[in-house]
Amino acid sequence: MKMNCSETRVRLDDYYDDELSVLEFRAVNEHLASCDECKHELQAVDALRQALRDMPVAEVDDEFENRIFGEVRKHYSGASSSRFAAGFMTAMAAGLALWFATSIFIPQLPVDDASQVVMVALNDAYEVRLKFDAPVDLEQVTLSIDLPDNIELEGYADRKELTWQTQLKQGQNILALPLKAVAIGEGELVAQLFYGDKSRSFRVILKTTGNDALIYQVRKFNSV
Amino acid sequence: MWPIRRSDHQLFEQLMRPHLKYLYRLAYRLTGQQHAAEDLVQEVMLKLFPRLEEIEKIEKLSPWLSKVLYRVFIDQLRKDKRSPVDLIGDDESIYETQPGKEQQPAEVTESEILQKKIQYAVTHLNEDQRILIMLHDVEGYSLLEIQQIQDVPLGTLKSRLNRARAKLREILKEVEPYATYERVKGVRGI
Repeated sequence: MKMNCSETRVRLDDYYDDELSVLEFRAVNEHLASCDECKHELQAVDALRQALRDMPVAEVDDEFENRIFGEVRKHYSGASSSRFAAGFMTAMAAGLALWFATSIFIPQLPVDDASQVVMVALNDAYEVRLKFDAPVDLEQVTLSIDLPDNIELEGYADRKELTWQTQLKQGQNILALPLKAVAIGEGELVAQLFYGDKSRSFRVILKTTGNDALIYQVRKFNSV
Repeated sequence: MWPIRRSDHQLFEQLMRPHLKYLYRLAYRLTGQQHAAEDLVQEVMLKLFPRLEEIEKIEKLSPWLSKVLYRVFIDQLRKDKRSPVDLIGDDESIYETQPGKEQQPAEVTESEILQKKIQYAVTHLNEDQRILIMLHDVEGYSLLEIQQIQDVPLGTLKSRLNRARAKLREILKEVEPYATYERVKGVRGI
């Protein structure tokens, strides 16, 4: 079995992975022995693979394992599974998931002032997720949620305003709010976050329609 | 859920602890973000604890756990895709670094240049291609192992992998800032 350059090159990855048949392997070997260009191509395969294998992985800290198992113990002992969402039901609701994202307490970063307008069908459960990016671990953070009259937080049907203290871990923090539209109307969900003398507000315009399909649009608002 | 005893947690941790870092590594390759990877591992552990009795009977846990983690990741991906609003500001992703934006050429070594190029190229693969490259070429999973994880026929995986590599090389060739820099370096003989 003899191979030319193009036949050899399409097999170089498999040759590198040792996934050729014995006959093909020998034929590629023979060709490489006499072809500098294909040998050079093989070196390029090797360089690429090496670089791929060297792609870095961010190391976890020493508390990673304890943190994971700590959450499992908390979750399956009746306590809340999420320190950030403490006090809230975190069950995934069917339908919409809206993400808000921001970087907090970093004055030099521009604030994204986009507000979302979400239209939802009446009585559909959906989930609004607020994402907070914290530059460092933050203790003693106060969060408050104000809901429009036509929206309920599942599990807290009689509460339109909730405030609680929590902590943010460095990096991404997700607060999942399982919401349900109980009447036709339009109003603002306002989430406020307080840390020391600083605060930040997030607003979602929620519009309830009949049983229309879900649609959405984005419009600007002025941040607090 | 059965009545939980303290020994259940101890047994669960004893079974899972040896696999956590390895699962985190896989999660990191799939998500490209440290916090997302940690959250993914957390989610998997929360889902698995009620299956303790089943887990005890599994002989080879690593491939089984890889598959579970992959499934949870894909489920999350599907949920996120249903979201009408894109995630904003996922700036911690290692894959989102644009080559040439972080450091000036004089400050970087050749292997760092290649790393940046590769990280950039990987982001421009489609999700299936990225995952396949991550599992096979980065983490060294064999096609047979990936077949077990993804439930995809071997032949399909192989052709997908070939296409993914071809696309990766195509993107790498297009990353012009570094291509130019490399040419300049070559002329100057630095």
